[in-house]
Amino acid sequence: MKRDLLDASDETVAKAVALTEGSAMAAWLGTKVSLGEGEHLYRLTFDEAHIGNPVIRALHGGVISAFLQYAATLEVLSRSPQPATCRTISVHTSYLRGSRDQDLEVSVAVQRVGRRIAFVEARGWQGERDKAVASAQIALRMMEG
Amino acid sequence: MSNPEPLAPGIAQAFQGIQAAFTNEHPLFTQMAPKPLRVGRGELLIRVTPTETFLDGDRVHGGLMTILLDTIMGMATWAALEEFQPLATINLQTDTYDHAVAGRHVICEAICEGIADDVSIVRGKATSEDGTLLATAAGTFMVGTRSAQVSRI
Repeated sequence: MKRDLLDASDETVAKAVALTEGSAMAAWLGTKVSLGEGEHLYRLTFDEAHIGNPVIRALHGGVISAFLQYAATLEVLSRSPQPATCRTISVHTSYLRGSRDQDLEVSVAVQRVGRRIAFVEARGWQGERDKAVASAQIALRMMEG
Repeated sequence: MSNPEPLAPGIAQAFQGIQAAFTNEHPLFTQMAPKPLRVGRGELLIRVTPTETFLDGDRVHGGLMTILLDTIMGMATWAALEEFQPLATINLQTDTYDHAVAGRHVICEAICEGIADDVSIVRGKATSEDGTLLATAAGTFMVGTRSAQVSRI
């Protein structure tokens, strides 16, 4: 498996969108993918089921972490030059700010894709990009597709 | 396994409300039919049944384990308290071993190891009903956040 990833483009976004189609989890998260300035942007579309505690109306921390994990997977698989599959090994999420009952936008930085392991960082924000709600370090086990 | 140490009275009352909400009202948890198996001071064991809502391909997405473990680990922190206080997850690490199967029970357990300087340290584990390990987790939670708006679960 080649380690270099394809540059983000309309084609890689289309590949990411195709990966979400037919995924019930992607639908539950309200996953949307778009092309930003040289990067993929991922959006969790807010739904009442994403609330942890209905009294405080913040996104559930586990939902935030799950979406960061899902975005990381989409990023690596959609930009892989060869067919690949992967599974999550570990997700370590830091909750930097309180969240609200709104959409969550996510960008992903791929740190290294080795032959068997990929290391990825995903950051999520609501509103101002430089005020991240959460960031996650994610390790993925890569397999040839 | 010894009998669990009882919850503080205020926490026990709060847990009754949480259980009712998770069983009858909450749009995420009601569909997984949560059933508490063991509830004690600083510890919880809960059975849930993931539905096809969380499938990614033919497997339950690992993110669901993160959601479940974050939830139960926060509750284990509450279970260790004398009185109910808002919580915020500080960080959460989930290590994934295997996938859950839709329609089959998952057993989630969490133990609050201790609370120091208003920070709880919690570990959790999810297994299938036959004992197969699905995921482990470790998390820290801020106890008594100044604003309820920053609490998550």
